[in-house]
Amino acid sequence: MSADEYIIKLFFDRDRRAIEEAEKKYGKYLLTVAFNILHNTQDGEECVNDTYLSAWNTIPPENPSSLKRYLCSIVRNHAISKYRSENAQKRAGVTLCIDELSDLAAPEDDSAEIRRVLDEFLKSSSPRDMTVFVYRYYYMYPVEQIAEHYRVSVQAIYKILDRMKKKLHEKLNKEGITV
Amino acid sequence: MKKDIMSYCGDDVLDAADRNWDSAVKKPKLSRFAVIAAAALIGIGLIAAFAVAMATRNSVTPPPETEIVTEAETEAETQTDTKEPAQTAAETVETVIPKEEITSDYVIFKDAADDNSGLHCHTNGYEIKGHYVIEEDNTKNSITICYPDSSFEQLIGSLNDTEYDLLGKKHTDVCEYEIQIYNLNYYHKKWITLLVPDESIELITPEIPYCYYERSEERNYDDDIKTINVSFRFKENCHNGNIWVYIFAGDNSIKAFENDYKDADIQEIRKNSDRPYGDLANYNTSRKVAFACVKGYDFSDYYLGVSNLYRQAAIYFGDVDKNGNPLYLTDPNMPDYKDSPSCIEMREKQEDEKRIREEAHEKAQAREKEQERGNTDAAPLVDIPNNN
Repeated sequence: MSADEYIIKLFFDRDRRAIEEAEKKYGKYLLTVAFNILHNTQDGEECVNDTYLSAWNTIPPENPSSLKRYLCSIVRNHAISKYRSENAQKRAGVTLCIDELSDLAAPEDDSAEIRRVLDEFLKSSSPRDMTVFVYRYYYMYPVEQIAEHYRVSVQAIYKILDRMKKKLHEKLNKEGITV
Repeated sequence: MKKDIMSYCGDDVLDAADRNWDSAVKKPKLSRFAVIAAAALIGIGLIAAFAVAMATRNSVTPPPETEIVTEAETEAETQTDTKEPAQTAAETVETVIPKEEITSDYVIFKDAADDNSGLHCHTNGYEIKGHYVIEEDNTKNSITICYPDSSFEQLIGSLNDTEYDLLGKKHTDVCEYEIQIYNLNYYHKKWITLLVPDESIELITPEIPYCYYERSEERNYDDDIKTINVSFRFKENCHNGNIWVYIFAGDNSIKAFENDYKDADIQEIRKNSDRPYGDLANYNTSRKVAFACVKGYDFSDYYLGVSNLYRQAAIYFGDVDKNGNPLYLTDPNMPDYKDSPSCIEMREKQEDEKRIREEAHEKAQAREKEQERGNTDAAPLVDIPNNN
């Protein structure tokens, strides 16, 4: 039994050690994802705690094939919601980098098709372009950090992102998905 | 209700992105030692490649019977002691694939940037397909060298007619390959593929072995694939050889390369091209041509590739110190190299150091002045004898 299977089993057994084990294994990772969105450690920690609670409430009946991705998806959603609600109170006009993709926001009722098209699109892109796109718009890494990682200019990263956005838009249109 | 599209990202895509990210771990800035070591390695590599090329040229020895194919399997594993989203445990599996026995002619197409890689293309009449990857600074450009599905004999027939008209003599041993190049950097509007054969091979088309493409501003994404045709034949009594494949890409400076190459006497260069990289260095205008090549690269995306090219150029032209290290490493203002990344980086470093020194000097002076002022201010504290 892998570590993830063991943790999921603990969730199913309603054993509170599930949260401890999940925290031990994925705590820092989840905090990084939350921090990249919120830029605040305390808020990030709150989100991570909310994530464990959500996981506790949803597993079972959910039985994720990848615990890491499942938790990541939850923490990302929590962090985005938190960011939006807090900044809506503070000041208008504050945006997240995913807002750059607002014209690609997709209807929820077509999720399987969108997932297929998006995966197909990303898989057909070059490894670097795909990674840049995912790290910018999924993990929300700062462009500067991505550029530094790849040892290219910030401008080059922006170019890649622009190009990918255009191509994704075209792909979605071609596949008949209204965005 | 609409939703952020990235939330639809599949697990396998995210895992792949994590693996790519980890495999592209930020390279440390090149230290001088690393640069020198790299230059030395390149030098050794060139000498070895030259030696191998000379040893194997015109021999009929078949290539090794087996080849090692390496497949890297990466597996994303999460570790908890780092802030990166994922980490990779790389595992390399080597499998030995038996290779068919080769008894006939062959040519090796080589990536000019990496003498160790190369694809053997055998010309004994059966379908030839190969996949050839150039990996540079985490970006993979791939070249597929393939032979059309129709039979070799049929093609020879049609080629013979063409060649007869073209060259005025009949070839019976013309080899034709189609090189398809994928995924050239999107932002490069222009690029050139330069094929440099060794002495055992005569390139038939093109006579001047370069191809020049200019992309329109509104290019189609399908333009990512470019095809060039290579026709050649082995010279008399020659049965194998090398063709080095150079790819130069850039936005504006490619034109200069094209002009320089046109101006150069190709036949003279060919005559001297008995060494790897076409021996441009042996020809008196070669310096100009080679530097045009080097400057044709896009600096922003190919930092390491360009650095390598500059180092190679320095080694070709003998601009090296007694230890074989490029001289521009000690003089970042050398005219021929001043646009090279190493020189730019070193100049910036020197400027930074100068600025820091000046600031430190100014601060020291300011402190001294302050102390002097402090002493002057303190003077009244000294008891002044009262003469009264």
